[in-house]
Amino acid sequence: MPRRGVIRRMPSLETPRVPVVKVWRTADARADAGRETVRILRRRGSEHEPTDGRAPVRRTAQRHPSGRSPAGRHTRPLAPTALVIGCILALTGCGISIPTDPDGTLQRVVRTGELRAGASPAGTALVVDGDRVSGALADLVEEFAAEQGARVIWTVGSEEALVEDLEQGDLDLAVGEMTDQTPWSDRASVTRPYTDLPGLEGRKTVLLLPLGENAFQSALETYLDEEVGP
Amino acid sequence: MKSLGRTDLPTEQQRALRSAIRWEWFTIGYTAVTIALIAFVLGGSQAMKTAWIEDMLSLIPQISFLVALLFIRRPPTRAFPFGLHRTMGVGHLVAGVALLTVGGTLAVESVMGLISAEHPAIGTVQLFGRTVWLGWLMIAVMSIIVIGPFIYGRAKARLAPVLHNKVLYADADMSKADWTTTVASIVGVLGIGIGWWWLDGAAALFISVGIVWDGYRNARAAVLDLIDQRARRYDDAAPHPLIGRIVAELDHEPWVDRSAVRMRDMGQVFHVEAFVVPTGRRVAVEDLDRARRTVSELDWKMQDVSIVVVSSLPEEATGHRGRA
Repeated sequence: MPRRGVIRRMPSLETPRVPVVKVWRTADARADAGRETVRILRRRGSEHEPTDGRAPVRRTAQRHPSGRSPAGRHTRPLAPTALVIGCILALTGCGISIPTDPDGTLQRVVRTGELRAGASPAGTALVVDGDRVSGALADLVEEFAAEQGARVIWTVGSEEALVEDLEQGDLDLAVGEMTDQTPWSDRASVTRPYTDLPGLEGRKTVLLLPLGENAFQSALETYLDEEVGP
Repeated sequence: MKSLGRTDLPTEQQRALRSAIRWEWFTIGYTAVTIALIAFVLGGSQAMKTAWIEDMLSLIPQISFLVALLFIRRPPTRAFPFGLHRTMGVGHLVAGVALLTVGGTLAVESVMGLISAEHPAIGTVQLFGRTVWLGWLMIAVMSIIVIGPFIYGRAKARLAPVLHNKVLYADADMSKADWTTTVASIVGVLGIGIGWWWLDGAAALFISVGIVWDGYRNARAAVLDLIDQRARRYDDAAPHPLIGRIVAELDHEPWVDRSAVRMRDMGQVFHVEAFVVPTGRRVAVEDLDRARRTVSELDWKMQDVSIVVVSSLPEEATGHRGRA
């Protein structure tokens, strides 16, 4: 059965809130993460069982030392004149890409090779079964990640929990049954609605992203336009 | 439209008024198109939203001008013995207060956005089969609509002094400054584009402070006229020069020893109370009538002229007490 990356269960009402991840890669494999990622994603559907008998690793900030993007930080203003220069550079297209993420999500995904996606169950399009996230919608997100040279680390939770994670910078996107009527639009960026997402045809489905990560949103929307049409 | 209240407009003013009405309708049409265009590209930019609301607010002076015109043309009646000229001032006040409150709300909103470090989101659109960042469309739209206010702003600024209309003047003044709003919104969107999210909030704050300032100026000017301050020029820069001319004209009469004037601005026309101290003890009715006619004929804006014969001039009219 396909096993896609690391699964984090959001704590349910019954279980104590101790977020736990199961790491299935060995230390050796992790060193070679980039190559492995490509292989896993290309061969989706084949066997990638986790290495069992490994103690669950608590997901902490240390696991992602790069965590919140330092890439976004060096785009902060240096002097007021930088604004003018920045505008001119941007307008003439000399090296600054527009749009840019204030917190550098897209850059980080490409650099670390990890896309932290949140999943909330959506019929057959996105099925959460135990530690497994599957379905056509999940495939779509993983293909998008693959295009950025990244693998997906899934987090499963309720929409609200996922939105909180987006706000805190713990997730890069959230996917589920959200439509363009989603009430989360003031706490997260909402993509354009897509009516032809696999498994959710006819529904105006949107994906949620961290607020204002516009380069990342543009990349995702461009990808979805190409894959499933606007 | 040939008359205002009981005043027959001279040809020049008739022409200016017709032109002003055309320009106001043109402005309303242009602004309506602008509002619709911006609505299509409105994303998460606070600066764009502020500029959009400012465009909607900018319709109020035009609408109040056109509505007030319907009223002020009516001659005085028994129920409204002074005519309905003050409707222009009421429209002016409404426009000012609207700008003030909405501008204030927008300013608070942009400050809150900056404090909470809310990152504005601008996604993409599908345009002719290509995925384009919406920010580019915003900038394109704003660059196109920046032109209009220059044209109609200048036209109205030419007409306002001819018609002595403060609503028209304030409207023209705001139109001429409108490009700062448009440029600020472009800067805000470009800021989002290069990842400087705060630039959007800063641009929105700049625009809303501009709206508040416009509101303050308009509301203040309207209130000052409604509470009958001494009549001033259309731009409020100085007391109206007609005051001096009336006094000179009256002093010229052989039967007048000295005179003073209280003049108030009814919106487009003036009410004049002229106080005269006669040289002798008797005043002929014909003399009074002639003086009244002379003053009326000084300018088309002389709507109501009363001449009061007194033994000494009231201090507030002579300017010997308080500000001149």
